[in-house]
Amino acid sequence: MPLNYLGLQPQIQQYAQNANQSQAHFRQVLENARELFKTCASQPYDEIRKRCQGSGKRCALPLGEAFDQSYPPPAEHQPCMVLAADGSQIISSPHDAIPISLINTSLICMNTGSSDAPQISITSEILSEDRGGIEFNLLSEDLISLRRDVAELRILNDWTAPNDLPVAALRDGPLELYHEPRQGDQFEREFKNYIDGLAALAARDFTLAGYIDRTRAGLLGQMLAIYFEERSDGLAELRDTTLLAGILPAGQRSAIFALQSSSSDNYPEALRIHFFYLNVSTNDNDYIVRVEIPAWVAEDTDKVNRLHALLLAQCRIMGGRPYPYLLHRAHETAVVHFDEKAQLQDALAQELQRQGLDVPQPSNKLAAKGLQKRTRM
Amino acid sequence: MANDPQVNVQVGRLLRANTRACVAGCLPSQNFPPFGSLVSIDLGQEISAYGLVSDIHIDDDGLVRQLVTTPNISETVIQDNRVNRNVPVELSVLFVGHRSAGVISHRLPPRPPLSLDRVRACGEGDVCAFTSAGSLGYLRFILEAQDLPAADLLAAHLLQAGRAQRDHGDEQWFARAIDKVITQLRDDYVRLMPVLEALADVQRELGI
Amino acid sequence: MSEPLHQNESIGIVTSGGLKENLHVRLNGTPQQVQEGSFIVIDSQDWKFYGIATDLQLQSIDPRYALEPSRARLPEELAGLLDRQTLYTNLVVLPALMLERGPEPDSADYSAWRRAIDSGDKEEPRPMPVKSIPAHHADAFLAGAGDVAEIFGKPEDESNFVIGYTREQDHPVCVNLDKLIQRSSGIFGATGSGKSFLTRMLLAGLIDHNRASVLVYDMHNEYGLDDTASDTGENVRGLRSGFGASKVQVVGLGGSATIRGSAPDFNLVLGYSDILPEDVELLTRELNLKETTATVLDALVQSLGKDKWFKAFKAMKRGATETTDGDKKVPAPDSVAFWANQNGVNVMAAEGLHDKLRRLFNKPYIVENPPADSIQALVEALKKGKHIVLSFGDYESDLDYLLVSNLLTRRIRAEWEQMTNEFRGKNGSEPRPLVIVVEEAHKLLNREMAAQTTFSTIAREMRKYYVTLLVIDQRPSQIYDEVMSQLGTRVCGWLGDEDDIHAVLSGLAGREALRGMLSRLQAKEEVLLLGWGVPMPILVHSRRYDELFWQDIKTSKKAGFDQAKVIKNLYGD
Repeated sequence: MPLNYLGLQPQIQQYAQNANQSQAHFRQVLENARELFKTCASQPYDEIRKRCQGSGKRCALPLGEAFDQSYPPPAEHQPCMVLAADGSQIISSPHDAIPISLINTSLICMNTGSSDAPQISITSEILSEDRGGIEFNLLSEDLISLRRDVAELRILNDWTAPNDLPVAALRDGPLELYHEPRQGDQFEREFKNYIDGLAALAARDFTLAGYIDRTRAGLLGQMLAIYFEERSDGLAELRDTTLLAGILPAGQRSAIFALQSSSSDNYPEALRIHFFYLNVSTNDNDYIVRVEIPAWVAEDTDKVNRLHALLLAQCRIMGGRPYPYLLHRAHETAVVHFDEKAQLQDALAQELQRQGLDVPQPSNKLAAKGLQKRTRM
Repeated sequence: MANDPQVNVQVGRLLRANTRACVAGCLPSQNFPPFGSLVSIDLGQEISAYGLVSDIHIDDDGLVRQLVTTPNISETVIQDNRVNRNVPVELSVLFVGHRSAGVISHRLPPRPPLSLDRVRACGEGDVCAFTSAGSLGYLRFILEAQDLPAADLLAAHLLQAGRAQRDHGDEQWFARAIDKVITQLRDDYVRLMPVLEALADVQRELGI
Repeated sequence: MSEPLHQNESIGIVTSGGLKENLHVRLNGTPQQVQEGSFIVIDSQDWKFYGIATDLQLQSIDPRYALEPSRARLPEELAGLLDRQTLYTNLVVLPALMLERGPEPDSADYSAWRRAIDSGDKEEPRPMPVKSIPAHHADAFLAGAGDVAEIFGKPEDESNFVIGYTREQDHPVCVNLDKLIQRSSGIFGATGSGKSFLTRMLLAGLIDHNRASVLVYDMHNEYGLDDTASDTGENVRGLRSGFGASKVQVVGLGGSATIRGSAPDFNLVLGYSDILPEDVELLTRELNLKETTATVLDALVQSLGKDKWFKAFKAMKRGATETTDGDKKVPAPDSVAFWANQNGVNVMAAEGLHDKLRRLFNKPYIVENPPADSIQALVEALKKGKHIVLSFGDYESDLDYLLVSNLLTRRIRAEWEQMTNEFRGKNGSEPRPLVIVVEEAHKLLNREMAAQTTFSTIAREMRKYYVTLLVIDQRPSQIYDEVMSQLGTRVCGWLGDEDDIHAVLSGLAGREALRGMLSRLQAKEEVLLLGWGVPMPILVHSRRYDELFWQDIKTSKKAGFDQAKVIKNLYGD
């Protein structure tokens, strides 16, 4: 029996009891937050920005748009090229016979003005440390993730435009790297690569966006908490999507905010991360997502409008569970399955053998896990 | 199916097989062979297995199930799913005979094909050669097959073969085939009559 | 399959059956290619089986195929293909004969088989009654001319007489006249079934064949002289007209008899002395005689003599009396009562008999002193090879017929018996066979009479004394079954009455199968040949009795039988 259900039972009851108690408090906080949000919107935005910047905390910074308003999508949506990039990785494990790491990046490109099937390209790359030596090839998960982010930008940059249509490029997840630069040359080098990637996309005038489907961010609550310091009880923990639910009608976006974070200063001005919220639902069941955009997009109304319309169109394709279709396809194309990992390991083992090298065995723990279940006669 | 009906064209590759049947996969975007048509699979050592496309199976997945709920699916999304996505059309093939060292036999192939073996649609010449060999004994595989729409499979096959035979000058082949079917099923009135009704449509279509 | 069958084309294959339950042949084509009564040949390895089609049955491999017309659900061509495999006709064949035909002539075994026969180690194969059956899937054929000839003989053989033709293919079917006269035979058929024409034709054949003398009791004056057909009004040639008086003589009953206005070759007149008591006793029913008749007759013969009783009894007076001295009335000496009293016979019985015999006493053809012994003349003519048609002229009553035919037959048989005994005692030549043709045979051969008449004796004796019967009747059920069972050859036209059909088929194998066939014969066209005299039962289109027939009779034996010519004459091109 995998779980001790008997022992869990009192804990389950306690969990529901706690949730019930916090619910009442939460409603109070939300009511307060919405009132403050409205009040705040009527305050001078410079003052708000000033206070927030002064705090140094991770929060939203209002720009020119009235942030208690919502913004409908443009009436017309011109054809464009939409790119979606996603990556997946194999993280090396010390238990593997050959502990390799791999990044698999996919790009899918759709011309919204055409009925042709989208084009797909995939780039697969085995990662290795400079030192070489297969069995020591253990890269940290963070570094691999960072390299994957870089690779995603690279595959977007490598794409050659077949026409003059404007290009929108989507990524799954935030544009802001939360794999912050840590110590070590590799991190710094990869971060620089990332910034360079962004700059290159900016140079190609792509409408770049990061799509965060289920954001837990409380950037607006934090902004309110900073501004209304004396009435900040619970505001910092309030999710933006909760705050905006009921304020942001289906299909409309919020005002655009700049993102203030600890890493903001590491991004050149033109590449600074901005964001808006978008209700991608088509009915009363609000589904609010966060869209991160670099400054060069945030400052260009056409690009913002194109992005707004495009994201809604992409989400509509997926019907009742709105999510950008191309992002799903990019993910589907990029994802590496377990058996594919096994095949890759087999191919590596064969090549090692062919070159006269010893093929290491997997760990006993991994071998035990791999024991087959019951087999058929 | 091949544009040139005389030529055998690769339509897919083998996914799985047993001694009686196999399943081949092909891209949805391909012109895969129609239901009931004759295909061949080269088994090596001068042996080819012959089979009829007895089922065409198009799998769904989560994404497709989600997409069908949307009111308007753009053509590009449809094409993406057909061309790019890794969901092959599965062709079930019922073995009906084999060719060994140039001799066609209406018995099961000596061994099933192996994974990823090429599956080819038979051209008219091959269809005529196979269906003219022997005395139509292979029809028993269709009529005895369980869990298959035997009447429609037979009708679809006889349409293809009847047309090929007619175009190659044998207008009596279709009548002989029906005679054989009646012989095989005449003790089973309930099964035979619907089969013949299906074949009546084929006869009208063939105009013979 | 609607196109005509070729002679050697199989009509189907044997699928089941046996000796007891007949053979079943699954037909290849439609039922109409074969008819009831068809002569069927089945080839099974080295044997040929011959039989007659007795039934046709519609069959299907599943009743549902038969219940629902396939054309209602399927196009014509598909329906045809389906019907061909699921619906079929079962031909029921009554097997009769089998013949070993040996291995194929071009096979290695054939020469050995032939050598064995030629050297006498093995008998020459001949048709024999079926003792086995053909194998499964043996091919069945409609009999070809060769098959018919193999079984029923070749038309050109002298003893063979073409009585008709096979139903579908008009192959001539013969009866062997030599065999026919070896036993008594019969021709049956309901009124209007063509019995008279058939009889004329067969008699013409017998007379032409001339191996036996023929005596015809022509009750209705049909056979001797030309007649007019009752249905068509056409002239029908009589036997005497056909063969001439040198061969056939017509005898008229009575001294001044004319037949249809023509004078007969001679007249038959009976003398009183010819009438014997047994001749009277045979008339018991006809004259409604009492049980005392035999006693009275016996007393008459005893008191008056065998030759004279009839004359004396006729002369006695009925009721004559005379008055005695005492004025008492007593029977007169010439009265019946007087004779009765004198001879101890019951007066009333004697007077009753006298009353009833008065019908005989008054017959003009019975006279005291006939000008010649015409009976003897008739017998002599028969002995010399003449053929006699005894026409009853105006004496067409049953009484005349019974009295004369019995009386004559008794005399004839006695004569032939004597001749036979002399021949067997090496004192004489072999008697010429005689066929007595009896019309309305049931009047003479019914259950009551059969024990007494000479006819039944003749039937039972077969050809012991060189005399056989040819009985002609429309009610065979009335004929005593012991007599019926003795009839060797039976030629039967249409019969409607179940009892008659039963009677005709008595003593034959396959009665049940033949029964329906008899009731469905085409009147005047078809007859069924049955019995010992024919190798197997067969249904034939009877030959037409017309001028062409007579031409053929006159020419066939001399010029050889030309089958094609006859067919052409009969049926045209």
